[in-house]
Amino acid sequence: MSAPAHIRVLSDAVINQIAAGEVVERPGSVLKELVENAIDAGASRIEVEVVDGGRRLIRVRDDGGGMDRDNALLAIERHATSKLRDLKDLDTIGTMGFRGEALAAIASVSQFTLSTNRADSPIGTEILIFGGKIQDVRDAGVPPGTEIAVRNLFFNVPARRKFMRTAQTEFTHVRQAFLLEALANISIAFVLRADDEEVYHLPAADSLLERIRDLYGEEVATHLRPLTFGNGVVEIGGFAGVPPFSRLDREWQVIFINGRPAGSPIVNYAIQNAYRSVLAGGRYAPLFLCIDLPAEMVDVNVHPAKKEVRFRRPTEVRDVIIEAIRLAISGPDLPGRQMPERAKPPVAFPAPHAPSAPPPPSSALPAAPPAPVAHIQPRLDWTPPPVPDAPASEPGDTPWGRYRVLGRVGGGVVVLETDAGLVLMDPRSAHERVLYERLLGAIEKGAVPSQGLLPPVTIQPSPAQCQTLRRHLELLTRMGFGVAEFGTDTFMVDALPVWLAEADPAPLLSDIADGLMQGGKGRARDWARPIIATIAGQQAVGLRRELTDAELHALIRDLARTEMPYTSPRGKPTVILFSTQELNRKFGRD
Amino acid sequence: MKIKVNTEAILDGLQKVQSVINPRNALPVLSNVLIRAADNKLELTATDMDLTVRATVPAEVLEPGVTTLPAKRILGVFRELSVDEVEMEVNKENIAFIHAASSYFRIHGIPETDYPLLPEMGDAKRYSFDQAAFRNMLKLTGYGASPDPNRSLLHGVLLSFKAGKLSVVATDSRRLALVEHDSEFPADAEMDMILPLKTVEELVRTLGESGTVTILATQQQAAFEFDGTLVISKLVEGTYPNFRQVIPQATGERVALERETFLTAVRRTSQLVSDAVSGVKLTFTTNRLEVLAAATEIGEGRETLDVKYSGPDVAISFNPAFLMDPLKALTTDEVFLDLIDDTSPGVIRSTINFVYVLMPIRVT
Repeated sequence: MSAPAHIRVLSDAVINQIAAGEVVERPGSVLKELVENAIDAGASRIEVEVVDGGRRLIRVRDDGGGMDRDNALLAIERHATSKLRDLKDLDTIGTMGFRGEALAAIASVSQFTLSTNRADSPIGTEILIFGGKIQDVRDAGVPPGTEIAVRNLFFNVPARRKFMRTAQTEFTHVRQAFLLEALANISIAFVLRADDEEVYHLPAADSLLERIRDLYGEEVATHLRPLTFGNGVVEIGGFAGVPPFSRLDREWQVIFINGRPAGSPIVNYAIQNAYRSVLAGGRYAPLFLCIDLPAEMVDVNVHPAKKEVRFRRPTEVRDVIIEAIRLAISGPDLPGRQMPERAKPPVAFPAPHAPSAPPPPSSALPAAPPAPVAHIQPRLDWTPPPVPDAPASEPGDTPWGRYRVLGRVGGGVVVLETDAGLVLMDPRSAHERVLYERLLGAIEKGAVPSQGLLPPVTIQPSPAQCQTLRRHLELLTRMGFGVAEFGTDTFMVDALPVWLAEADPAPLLSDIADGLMQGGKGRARDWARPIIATIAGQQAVGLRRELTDAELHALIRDLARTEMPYTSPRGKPTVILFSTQELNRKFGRD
Repeated sequence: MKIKVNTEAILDGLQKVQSVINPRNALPVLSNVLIRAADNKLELTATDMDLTVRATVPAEVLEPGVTTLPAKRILGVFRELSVDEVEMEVNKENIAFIHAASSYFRIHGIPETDYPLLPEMGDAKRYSFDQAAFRNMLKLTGYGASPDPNRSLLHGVLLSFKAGKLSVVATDSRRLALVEHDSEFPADAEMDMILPLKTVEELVRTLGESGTVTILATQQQAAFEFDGTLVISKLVEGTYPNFRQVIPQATGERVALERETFLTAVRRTSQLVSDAVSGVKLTFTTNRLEVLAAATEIGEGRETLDVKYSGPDVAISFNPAFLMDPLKALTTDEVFLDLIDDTSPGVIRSTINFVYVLMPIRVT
């Protein structure tokens, strides 16, 4: 086999343009490369400026070490240039890593200015490059650090220029790249200016939470709860949002793997799974997920821009993430739980059970029932849920320790006053949550009553389903099923869990077998969750009528004891809080 | 068509038939009531295609005719009229004009030709039964049927004409209610039919307290004629489960209970378990019955009754609603509860030929 007749060596300019295609996609990726350069230069403050979404200008200025003229020239040339004469030079380039190449690539597709100076040098260097060709290298008065300005990106590559989107879209990407860098480097102060307007001004932060607050605002920050969980190999840190606080896109979800922004389908799956029973489908809670694991357990070379990784043991990572998020958002003392604090003496309301208690302050709603006793033992229609495994809290120590029912509005929505402010509660969603946790608890304790069947029925599931049922007979018994094998691939069902007793046994067990198969090795309660959420929903359907006062108080108390009182198992909110501060703000009161 | 009719009478007739109409049906004409005027009477018919009810109302027919009019509208109109007699005329375009004292209404109808044909009964078997007794049999069993329309067989009530008696049975696979009554019919008229629950409810609502009901049945449908009313229903296809095999033959201990007292005790204690997740527990000791409903963290309700009981101590739990259903439907003073052990079905019997089998709840 002979070599093709003509092989031409590509010029540096062409090579750089090809490289640019890989590294430089759009203004956002330019920003990322420039900011990472600045970080490598040891900056403590990085200022970013973009004009027209970065299409006309991207300028990044840092107060890092800066470069002398030779290094500056090296930085913007590919390593295979005449500048690289011997191995000693390689050491110098080392700090720049492959980004030296990125700078060259960017410079080849833009009008590029690099100004830099070292702290110990009186005069700095300015290099002007036009489409990869050095126009000028000159002395300039430059403060210590480096400033790189990239103008008219892709001015010489019409094909790529066409693919740039509107300034607004490009700015969204610029901002996203900026946010990721700002979150990954909290000790560095950042500024982002767009079209002469300051978008972000972030002082160096002491903690990730502080940086999140500066970036996303107070509201997001107060709904976060720290993630701290690991199995000794995979460690999870960061913050998870407490439902129902959420939005319809993943804007608030950021994932760092070993300190670098990245993602993986399995991580998304784990997040979805962890939030499934507490957030409605299509809603995303804020999440700043930091996954740390040994380098050999993660393969970063999947995606050219290293946005996606692959794990060596994905199920382990998944399980740790799920557990971490669940622990974080179900624990007591949720920061988002703005209900009355436990330690405060009951001053906000007259103790309603005290005989001398004055009548409630003139209520606007005449129909409001008398001030309730929060801990009366009324004629209840619901069994309270089992106390979750959460760290023990003092008895009666519920977030709704003090409240007053003001009345009902709009088709049964209950209006409550609490120390924290005004609370609206949907009794149906609340009831669903209470039932759901109670059923889960009963299953875990194996205390589900069984309703006998008259007569017992035989079912013949598919062979695969039979195998699954056979393997899980003990679990089914714990759930309240009376199931026994009855000949080849035939089962006899003589009892169903009371809360499923209305169902037709054959399709029910077929569904459950399928659920078990899909659930795989996960814990029983994981596969059971969706089924149980559906059951709770069906049971709560019966709750169309208006609740009696006693039932209402029982419901409020039961809800307060649940692990996750703010959403129904299908993710609808159970309560909506208007804090006193919020009300004051809206009314313009001080 | 032109008629004069007593307001009360036509209201009564409309109310009998309109409950059949499915508010979400696809054919607009099925929201209408078919009105046929002839021979000094009005025939009012409504159907949902599975169940058809026809009532007859005496009227002065000035001009015979037939049309269909929106049931809800004319019912509303007649209900609001405060006169004793109404005159209604329907023209060829099926527009009805109603005159009553100072009121005047014009209502658009749909031609009778759009209305589905009534099912033909063809070669039917024929039975007659005392209306009140038949109604009572349906009342004593109907609550036992499954409310789930997907469980077709169990979402119906079995009428079994066999061996010189009518047996009416309903079960939802957790309890079964059976009542039997002697009935005369020729041997070749023995048959089983399963009435949809909706038909049973309609019959309980419209059957009267006296007179007879004539039942005509084919394999596909059954018709009930009484007091000028005709109810025609599709039957549920399939073979009803063998209900005799679930009635325990062995009788363990029998307790006689005052029905009202027992019912009240269960109702009171079950206030603590109204979500039906836990049962009420009946504990029999010598001459004593304790009814207990308890739920962790809520509390408990307990009630003790003096009973005549000399058997061994036994405790058994039931769904309180299921326990109360037959006690509410029965009218006798005394009921008997037969128990074998805490996992075998309990059986409630009465002085009439009534059997109710109820599976217990057990906690693993």
